[in-house]
This record gives sequence, C-alpha cells and structure tokens, in this order.
Amino acid sequence: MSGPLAIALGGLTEVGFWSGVGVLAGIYTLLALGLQINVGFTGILNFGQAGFMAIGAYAMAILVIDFRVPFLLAVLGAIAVAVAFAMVIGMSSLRLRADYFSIATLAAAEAVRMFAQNAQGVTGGNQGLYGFDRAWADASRQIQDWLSAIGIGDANGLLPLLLVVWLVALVAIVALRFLQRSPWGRVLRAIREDEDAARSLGKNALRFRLQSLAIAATLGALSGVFLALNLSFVNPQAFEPQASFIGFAVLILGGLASYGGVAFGAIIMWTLLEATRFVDLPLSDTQIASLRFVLVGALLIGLMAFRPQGVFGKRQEMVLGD
Amino acid sequence: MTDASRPMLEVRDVACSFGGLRAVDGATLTVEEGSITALIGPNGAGKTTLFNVVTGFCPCEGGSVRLAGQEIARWAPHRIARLGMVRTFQLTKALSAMPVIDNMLLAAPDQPGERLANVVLRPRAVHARERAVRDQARELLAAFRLERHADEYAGTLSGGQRKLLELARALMARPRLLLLDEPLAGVNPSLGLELLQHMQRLRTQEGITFLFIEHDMEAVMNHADLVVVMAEGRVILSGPPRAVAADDRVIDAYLGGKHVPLEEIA
Repeated sequence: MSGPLAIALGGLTEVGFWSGVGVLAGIYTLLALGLQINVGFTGILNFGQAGFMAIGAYAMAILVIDFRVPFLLAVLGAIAVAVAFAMVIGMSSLRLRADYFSIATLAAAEAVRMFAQNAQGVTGGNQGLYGFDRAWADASRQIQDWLSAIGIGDANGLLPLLLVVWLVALVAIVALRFLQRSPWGRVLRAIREDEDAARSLGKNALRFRLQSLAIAATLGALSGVFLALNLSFVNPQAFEPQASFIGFAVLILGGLASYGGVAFGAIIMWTLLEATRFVDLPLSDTQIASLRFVLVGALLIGLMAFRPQGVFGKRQEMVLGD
Repeated sequence: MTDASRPMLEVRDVACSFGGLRAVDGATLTVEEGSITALIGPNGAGKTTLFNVVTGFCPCEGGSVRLAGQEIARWAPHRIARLGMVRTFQLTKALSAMPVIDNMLLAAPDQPGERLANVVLRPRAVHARERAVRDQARELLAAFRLERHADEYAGTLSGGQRKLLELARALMARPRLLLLDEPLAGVNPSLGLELLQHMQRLRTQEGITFLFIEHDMEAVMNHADLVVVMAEGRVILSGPPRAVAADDRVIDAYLGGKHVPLEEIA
C-alpha cells in the first residue's frame, strides 16, 4: 500500500478524531432535526437554520458575558430569542408560497450574520465573543473525573461535550417521534400533503406551521449553543449559509420524514468531511477543503440517483407525495 | 323567518375577481336546510370560484355570506369548516402519502391532541378521543366500502375511490352543509350512482344539507331538489329541476341562444 492510504488509516483509528467527529455530528443532528420537522413533516422549506443557530450561540454568549446570567438560564434565554425571531419571520412570511418563504428564511439568516459581523459593540464583530463557557468548563471537568473513575480516558477533552450533545440529541429524537405520532403530528403531515385540504377540514394551518418553525428554531438555537461550547468562542464565520446546506445534506442523506435518519446522516456526513483531512494529496489546503465538498456533492448525486428517499426515508411517501 | 324552513346558506351579492376578470360578479343564492341543491352553469360561469368565496379560500369583495344565520364573509377557511360548512375540491385532494385511516382521523373535530400542550399533559384524553373517532372512521369507511384499504396509503386508491374517501373524510368533520365540487367527474356510472344514493341517505338520516356543482344533467335532474344556474359570474335562475330545464335562459346560457331541449345536452 502506498503512503496516503496508510496516513488515512492511521488518523481514522485515533479516539480524538472520532470524538471530534461525534461532537460535530451531534451538533448537526440537532440542527437538522429542526429541518426535518419543517421540511420532512410540515412542508416548510426553511433555508435559514444557520440563523437560528447563530442567534442561539450569540444570545447565550451575550447573556452570560454582559448580563452575568447563569449558563443554563442563558441557554433558555437564547432559545426564547430564537423562537421570537422565528415568529417574526413566520408571521411575516409563512403566508408566502413555499419557495418564496425559503428565500425569506435564507435572507433572514444572512441578516443575522451580517448584524453579528457589524454590530461590534454587541457581538464583537469578526473578533467574536469568548469567556462564556466557565460554567461548562467546570461541568466538563466534573464529567471527566467521573469518566476517569470508571477507567475511561479522554484524549482531547471532548468526551464530556460528546456525551452531553448526544444525550440532548437523543432526547430530542424521542420527543419529536412522540409528537409526530400524536394527532398534532398528523395535522403537520396533512399540511405537508395539501395545506388547503387541511384548512378545509378545520385546521388552522398557519398556527401549526408557526409551531413547527418554533420547534426548528429551538433545535437550531441548541445546536448553536453546543457549537459555541465546542469552539469556545463565537464568531460570524461559523454561521454562513453553508451550515444550513450541510444540514440539508444531512437531511437528504438520512432520508426525509425520519428523525433517526438525521442522526445517521450527520455521522456519515461529518465522518466524510473530517476524514478527508487525512488524505495526503499534492494539493493546497484550500483545494483540499473544496475537494471535501466535491466528494459530498458526488455522494449526494449518487444517492439521488439510486436511493432518492435517503437511507431511512420511506420511498412510498416520496412517490405518492406528488 | 321561521325555523321550519330557514336557509342553511344565504349568499348575497358576493364578488371575487382575478386581476381584471370578475369571476364571481354579485352572485346571490339561498340553500334551504335539508335540501340537495345543484349548482350548474357553463364552464367559466364562476361556480368553483363561488365555492372558494363562501368557504373562505378566495377573498370576498363585499356582499354577505350567512351560514345558518351566522355572518361568515371574510372568515378564515378553518373557522368556516368548524362552523359546519365543509367542502370537497374539483381536483380531489386525498392526502396521498398518508394512510386512508389517517385521512379520516385527521378530519374529526375536537381532538384535544391537536394542541401541543395536551399531547404532553393530557395523554388520556387524547387517546380516548382517538379511540372513539377511530371506531367512527371504520364505520364510515365500511359504508363507503373502503375499509379493506384503511391502512394503505391514500395515493394507492383509484380516482373513484379517492372521491369516496374525500366525501367520507368530509363527513368525519361533522358538517351541517357539504359543498361538493363535481363529485361525479371521473367516476364510473355505478360508483357515481352509489355516491348519489349516499347523498340522499345522509340527507334523510343525518339531516345534512348538500350543495353540489355538477355537469352530469341526469344526476342533477334526478337527485337535486333545487337547481341554481350560474352564468358569467351571476346566478341567473333557480328553481325545481323541471322548471329550470324548461327555461329558455338556461339554454341560452349554455348554447348562446340556440334552442335545444336540455335533455339532449345531457
């Protein structure tokens, strides 16, 4: 075997690599669960999930740093701000046709990022914000102590975050599945299928769509909080539209209308994106960074050709949906 | 007006336009409680648009719409449906990627589980309602000979079966007045006859009032108590089927002045 492959295999057997991938996959599971309830179950094309992620991260950081709010309360506050923002977008734009709504969400998310970049007094601009994660650092050390007590070592200090982010993601998956099986979830699906039919049967479609969007905003804000903890600082580059689109790639990979598929899609996606770092090619770093996305694009095209419903999606729902 | 023959639906001077075209241009009509009323007229007369206006799907420009005495002009569609006026669509709207039984359960009113808080806080009430509604849905599916398909996706049904499902689903919503937009279009004659018999039975047994748009003149003449004729956005005439069939204005509306007995058109 030649050099590059050996290096790749070497990197892939490191614990540190997998905990890094695991944290990112957990964060994007939360982000894409929000997309799943919108796109897969309500028929709302939300392209602005990165915006809710940004609001979650910034609101949490600002509440902790400037207002000295305890960390957990700051997380709740961040969710409240994201939901309020979702209501503003929803009430002004959800009456639009699906494709126009998606443009409105994309624009809103970009507006949030531009605000973060330029309102330096509040957000630190491109310098970003840090110093919001002392409470988490303490909790993280506590978890590490427990882990070492049962003999589990932590190579790069990411295990506590890995555990907490996946715990939250699993709780979210179970809760969303429970909601989806309820009569409330049935109305969401009906709206996805045909909004006018749902309205003609006495369902206030706008109310359900707003609720769906609020849940997506909540999950987006949570993913933003975890992203901030993972990076230890918050800056605008983390919330480019790319984040929403990776979320969509996760969604398509796992399959529409499957919450479990989101977790699977996020793990595959981030394994691919991170593993390509180890491939030693005669290319510059920026070229390799682009190549990662070329690879993901090719994978998605292949998936669309051979399994358009994604890995866990239901083919019947896809074919009959139209 | 006395309760004995109060109108279920009173439409006065409603209008609706798309750009420069006034699709409905001051239409006025009355549907008596417990009647089966047919709405006929040539293509483009504004029949479907009138349905859209009275059920809240098209913006209503002026005029008044009363359902059992309650003014409902400019109400949102879901509020009108909850008040008891339920409609079907010209292009059948079966919720294809949902099972037939879920189509039915969806339509049932008063399900506490459609509120997020109740899903979490009152699971017993949600389950109790769901069980009661499921029995009712099974009965209705049996009456429409769809029970075999209860667990299949609605998209796998034939066109005629979808029409039946849409009617059965509308009945789950406990309507007082059902608006059917071309219930017989694309349905084979024996299934069509069955559908008309269902309408007669529901009127006598459940006291449901019907207003239906139909181009099948034989069905209109044999099954409607009253016929309302629209042309160019207005109601030009209404009366018992035989009287309407004999009226020159109807023939003019359909044929632009040439006199041919209506039976031959059918």
